[in-house]
Amino acid sequence: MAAKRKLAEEVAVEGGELDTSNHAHVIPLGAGSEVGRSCIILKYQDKTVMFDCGIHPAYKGMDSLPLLDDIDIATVDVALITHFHLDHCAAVPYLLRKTRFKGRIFMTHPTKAIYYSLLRNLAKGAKHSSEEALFNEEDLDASMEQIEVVDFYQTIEVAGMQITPYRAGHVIGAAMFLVEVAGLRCLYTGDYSRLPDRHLPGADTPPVTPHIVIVESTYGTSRHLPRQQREQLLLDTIRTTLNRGGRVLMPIVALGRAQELLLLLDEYWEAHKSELSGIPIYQASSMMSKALGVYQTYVESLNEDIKKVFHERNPFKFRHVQTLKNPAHFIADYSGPCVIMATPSGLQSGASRDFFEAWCEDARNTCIICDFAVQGTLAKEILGGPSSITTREGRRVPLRIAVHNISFSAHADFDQTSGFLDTVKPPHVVLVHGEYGEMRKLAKALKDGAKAAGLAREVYTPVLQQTVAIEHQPDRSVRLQGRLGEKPLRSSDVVRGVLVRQAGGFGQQLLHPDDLPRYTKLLKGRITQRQAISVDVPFSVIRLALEVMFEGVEGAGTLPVTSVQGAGGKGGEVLAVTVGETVEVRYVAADDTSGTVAHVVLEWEGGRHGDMVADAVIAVVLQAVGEPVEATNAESAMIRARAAGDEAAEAAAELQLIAALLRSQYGTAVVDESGGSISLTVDGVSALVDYRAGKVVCEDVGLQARIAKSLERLAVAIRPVGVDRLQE
Amino acid sequence: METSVRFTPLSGVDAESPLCYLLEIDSFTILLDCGWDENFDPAALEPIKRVLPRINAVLLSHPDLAHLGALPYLVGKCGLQAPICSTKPVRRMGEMFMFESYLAKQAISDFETFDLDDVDAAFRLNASWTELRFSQRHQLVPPPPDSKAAAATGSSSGQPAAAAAAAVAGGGITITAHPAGRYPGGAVWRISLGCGEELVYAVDYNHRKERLLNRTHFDELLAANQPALLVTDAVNALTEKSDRHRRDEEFLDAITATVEAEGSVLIPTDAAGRVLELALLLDEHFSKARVAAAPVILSATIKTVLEFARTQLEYLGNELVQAFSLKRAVPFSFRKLSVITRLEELGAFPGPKVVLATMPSLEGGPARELLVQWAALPRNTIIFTERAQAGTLAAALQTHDPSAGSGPLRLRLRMGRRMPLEGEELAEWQAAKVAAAQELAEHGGSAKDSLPLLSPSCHLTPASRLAAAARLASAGSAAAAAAGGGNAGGHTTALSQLTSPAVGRGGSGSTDQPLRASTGSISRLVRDSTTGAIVQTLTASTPGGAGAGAGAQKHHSSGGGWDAGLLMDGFEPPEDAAFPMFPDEDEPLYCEWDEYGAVLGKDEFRVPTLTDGVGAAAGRFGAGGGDTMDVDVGDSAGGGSGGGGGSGGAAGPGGDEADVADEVDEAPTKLVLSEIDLEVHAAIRYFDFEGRSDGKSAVEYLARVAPRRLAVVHGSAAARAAMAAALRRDLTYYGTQVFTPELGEALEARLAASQVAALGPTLAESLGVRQAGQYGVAWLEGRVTAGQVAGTAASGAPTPVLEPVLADDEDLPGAMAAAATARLSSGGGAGAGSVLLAQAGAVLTLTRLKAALLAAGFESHFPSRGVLAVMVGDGPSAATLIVTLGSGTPADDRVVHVSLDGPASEAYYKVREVIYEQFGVC
Repeated sequence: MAAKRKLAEEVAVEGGELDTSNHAHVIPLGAGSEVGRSCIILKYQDKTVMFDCGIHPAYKGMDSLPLLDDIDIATVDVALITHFHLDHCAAVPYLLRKTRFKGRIFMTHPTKAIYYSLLRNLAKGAKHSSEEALFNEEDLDASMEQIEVVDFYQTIEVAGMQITPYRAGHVIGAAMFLVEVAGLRCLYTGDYSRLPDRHLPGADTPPVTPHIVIVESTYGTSRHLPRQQREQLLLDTIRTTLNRGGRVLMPIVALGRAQELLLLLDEYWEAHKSELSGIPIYQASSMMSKALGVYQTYVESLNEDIKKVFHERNPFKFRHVQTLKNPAHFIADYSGPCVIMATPSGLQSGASRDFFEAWCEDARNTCIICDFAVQGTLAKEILGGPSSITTREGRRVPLRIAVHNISFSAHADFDQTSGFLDTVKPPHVVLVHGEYGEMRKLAKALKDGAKAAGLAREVYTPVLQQTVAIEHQPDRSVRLQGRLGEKPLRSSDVVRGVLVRQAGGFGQQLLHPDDLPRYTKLLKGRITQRQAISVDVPFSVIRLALEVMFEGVEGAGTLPVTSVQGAGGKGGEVLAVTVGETVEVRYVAADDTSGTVAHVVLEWEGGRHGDMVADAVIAVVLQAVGEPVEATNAESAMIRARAAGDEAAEAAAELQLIAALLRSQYGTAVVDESGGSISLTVDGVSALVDYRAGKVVCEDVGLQARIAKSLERLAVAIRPVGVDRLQE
Repeated sequence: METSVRFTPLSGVDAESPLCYLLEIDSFTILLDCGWDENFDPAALEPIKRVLPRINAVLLSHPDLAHLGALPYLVGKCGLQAPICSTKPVRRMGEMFMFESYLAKQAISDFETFDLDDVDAAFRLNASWTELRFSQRHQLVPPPPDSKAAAATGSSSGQPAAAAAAAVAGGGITITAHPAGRYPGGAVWRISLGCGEELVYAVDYNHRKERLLNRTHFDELLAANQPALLVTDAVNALTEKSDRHRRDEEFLDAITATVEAEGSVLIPTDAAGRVLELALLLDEHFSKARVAAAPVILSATIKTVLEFARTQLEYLGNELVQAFSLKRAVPFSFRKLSVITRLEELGAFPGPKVVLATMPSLEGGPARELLVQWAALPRNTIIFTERAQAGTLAAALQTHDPSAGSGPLRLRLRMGRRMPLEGEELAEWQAAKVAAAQELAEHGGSAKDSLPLLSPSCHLTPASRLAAAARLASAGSAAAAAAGGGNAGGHTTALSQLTSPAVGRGGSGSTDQPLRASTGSISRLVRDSTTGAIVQTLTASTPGGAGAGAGAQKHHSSGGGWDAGLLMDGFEPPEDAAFPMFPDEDEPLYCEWDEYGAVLGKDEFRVPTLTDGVGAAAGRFGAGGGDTMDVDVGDSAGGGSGGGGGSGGAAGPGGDEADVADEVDEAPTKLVLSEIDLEVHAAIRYFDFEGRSDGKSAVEYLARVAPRRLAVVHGSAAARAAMAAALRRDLTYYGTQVFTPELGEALEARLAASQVAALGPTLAESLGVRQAGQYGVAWLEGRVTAGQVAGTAASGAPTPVLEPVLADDEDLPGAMAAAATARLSSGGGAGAGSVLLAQAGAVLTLTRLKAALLAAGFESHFPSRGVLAVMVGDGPSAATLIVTLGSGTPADDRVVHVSLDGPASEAYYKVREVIYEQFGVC
């Protein structure tokens, strides 16, 4: 618990400080303590997922975008769009066309189909407006090519992550995404509703327990009225208004709730034909007829109920609803009572605003806010009960219209959210898509609820750009297959093999090298290495040195040094040996006719083991050959000093050794022990080697470079090649 | 514990026989497909019947006869109750395939091996059917809860746990369907075992995209892991690769040529699969080309098939999906192609005709009738699009070689025709019917529960079944709704009651949810117990549905009509409805369930006897089916002359767009056989529209998957041998065993156990993972420590943890330490470190290496082929390193071999590092 409490504090830390290898990062680029422009980033291991990419309805142009600059968009592996509402998908064309996004992007079938209709409308609308549009129709068409579709319950693998969409209720095609990265399961609900309604099933409960649930908190701790009551209230309100000769305006999102409400109204009108048949219901959106086909074709996304009604008739062909082609004419001409549904839901602009401004001064009229009213929109403003509002032309007009807020928006309320979390039992809950206050109230209620129920639950309420870091140890399990997996593992056994990690993913196998082609598409190949080292001592000396080194010590270090058959020289002299059955050392005598100098050739099979033995052999050979006696002496002194732990003596001996080796190459070399330097004179040019500093001082640049190179190589020779570095 | 896997072909070894295989995983038995041929000979199913009680699950891959034909018989007549898994289209289209076959068979013979009840029981009403979406993971056998523990501890205390794990077959079995192409919903089954192994059943897949469907991509899905066993077919092993566009052009040219010569074209097709692809092709062509003929699809079930296909866009090809998304182009709304369900309707089309007609075998169905009409005329053409099964009429036509000089093909055909009963025969039949009804009324009512009583629903007309199927297929069009609602009101009601529980269960609906949660305002009609009149009630008091049909009639005849404002909420009868109609009422909100589905009250199915007075006529009609029959009000009230079959409302006023089924009345018929002589003068062409991968592509495809064991089935002996040989050759290096099991021959494999361990964080971080093709590889040495690993999901049981191996003698001088470690590694069971080379098929070239060396700052050039010289150093220390690439010896020519020669120098190690990186050495 203590660790968890600490984590909760870390939330306040501005992101980036904890790495993602054992912390999952959740960063809201939009919808962090606000409603609108949903865009949540999940980072874990080297993977980045983007959930949704929408715009903020209260802002315009670039301001409405999520804060995409906050992360490196090019690192996003996959974007998952939950549903077609603009605050969840409208920034997609921008994301795909105007940023460095390189990942894949997924939607469900119905979402993609309606996304296109909706955004096309938006793009067309933007063409006639003066502001710079976020995207045009061409961008949208291009995005359609790029967007991939996924069906509910399909588990797809993207960049090693497993992604499964579940039904979310809310609107047709709305999905919750469960993402599994290296054993970490994170569920993003998007907008969801667990309550089945007239045409949609409620949200699924995923069959597994996620570690993190990112959940919307639109309605905070408030509770929806039972549906019957809400419907009754709505119908009563409408009836009252109509009875007093007023008009009803219902600003609404074109698709989703509109269908649900029209189903309700149509049913009601049908039931009360005699009284209501003279009063028209209008919907002022062309989207609805366009969407009709989607509802018919993706009937699988609807609930069983409406599927059955489809057998009888098309329930979305409304009997009492007419489509308004031209709202402006209508406002001017029509005076009787009526019910109008118009977009957008926030009354920011468009048809719903036109109607509102035309009707808001008449007290007989009613405006019913059925969707969630987003902060900053006129809809939210009028809910506060102002006495007047400002029209788009800037006039101040009195507000006499009756304003009601009867929520039909298919978001989860407190009971649904807490019920959902109590069922799913995630240890970590990240709240997004809610106003600051509501979100915090909800967080507190959820924490209290968890405490009461004895559940471990951390609740986070990040603001925009704030990183929530949640500790999670990645699943590092590895499956031992083939001959390594035959026997159960016993403690303190040593296992060796090739670890094979799936492409971009996290599945790991441990295999014996010979099993590779049976369990993976890898073939085992060979690298033969041959290295030549010139020598000026007889091979017997080298052989002796090798034997001393590899056979002289009893125990683990012993490697047999054996003669290679048939490689004997004249007089039965052995000219090749094998060390540890791995590295063959062959002597090639000097041959004046071809100009060959005497040298040994090491040949071994590349790989971890072979390279290691070869390095050891090279070290021995270098030591044994080509060294002047003084060098040998100096070296043994060095080894002695090293063994004795006398660093000063070791350094001195090393200097002597270097000097001896340099002497063999460049002639005279005078050692200045106290200064730790060696003076050389080559062809009349003098040079000073400051061995401790590793510097060469010389007037001749070429010579200086040569000596420096020699020094480097000598260092390699004296200190056997860094095994670790080469093995990496 | 090792897992035993046995694969036994029960049928489908040669190309002719239908597919049916048995896959046993430890004690769990899976039936892979259960095909039948058109002979429907029960003897052919003997091998399946023998194993039937053992079968734990059935996986179906495709919807045609050869893959699921035996299902109705097995379920209906042999009592197969095992869960069946398929995609939704396979279930629905499969039903249509069976339906069409049954109708065709029944029309020409007294076919009694199985009936439409069995089809219903096997498909629509089958509660043990699980519909899966593609890529949806379905757990057939849950893994043992302590599998990790069992795999983990391993010490003596772990043994019991291990035993428990072994008791669960395969350590848990998860199945996933992946698109196979060819048919909508056609699946390649991937069976994943808990022990980390995979089995794949991939037959009849298509690696090429078509108009209708996307290509299969199981090779990509299996790219990383080798399946332990892959079952594939070899039908096309000897088929050459063909050019799709040329085939299409030639096909269309053949049609055009015939039509221009005033001839008609007959294209025999299947009922619900390939016909869709052909329909798309023809419609597309005829919309563009100016040909004076209209293409027609003729099949009894085609309307239902299309309705269903329209709502299953998720399963169709990209182009159709995209066209819908962008233009709302509803798939299969044909511009030129007409859809008819009865041969008689063909007369409405003037001039030459192009007809897609069912039953590709020509053994039955409209295609046979058309053949008899058209084959004698040389101007007509018969185009086959799939190979015929031996012994069928189609095979006789396909194998006939006119150039052989034997003259035109002469055939003596037995034609069957159903004639309605008349006069005395009819009277006899009716008498028998009444007797049977009485019998039922006396014994049946009290005898048993719902299901046995449902069985006599063979009196359901094919019409009502199709209508019900269409409803299940969620037909959205108003036309279909009108047809169903207007004509078949009565039985629709009953049927949807019967079927809705099945839907609820088969689909995602949970059983304790209200069936109709939201349309609460739709009122319900109940027969008043005292007056017998129909009254409206808003509360769920009586299960009124079944009574509604009969009741409605009374309501009407009493002249009551209906008050639109009062009752008809949510439902509007067509204006020209001849009799009262009521909404499809829902059942009480909650239904009880038993293993057969919703529990039905006995009373609903009590059969009224003739003495019931006023209701007599209705009672008689309803006799067999328990009030499920539709009744023609006007006639039946008079005296029931309509006969006990319940006329399907042939003249139903609302049925102008009706499905064939609504029009095929179930009046008693008798079979009249005749023999005719047919001389075939029509041209016979064959174009391969089977939609299967050709031999070469299939081999390439499978070579990419590289399974460890491969079972080649379903192909002629030569084809299987050829495919096996090709794959043996291509997969030598993987050590793949290729089998061609014979009928009944079990292919047994014991899959080695595997262990699961977790990497300790230290070890995990110290790994130098290198990229090798699609994989990351690293050499790992670890010491097992009894683990208590945090966070590994499911069980929480300890998984052994691997920690780094610490060399005991670190203070040895470098060379010694190296030698010591080397010694250590060579002593271990896993052998020495190794060299890996990237995936076979991935290009290993010196050119790439050259580029990589250049990036690392080394100049290199090619002094000769296969040799790369790397220049290192400068001045006196300049040297040349030689890199060669090639096979060492001919024996292991698939093992790539690189060698590096050069003087010892620092550059040597740098170059080596570059090589290691390029070739994924670890």
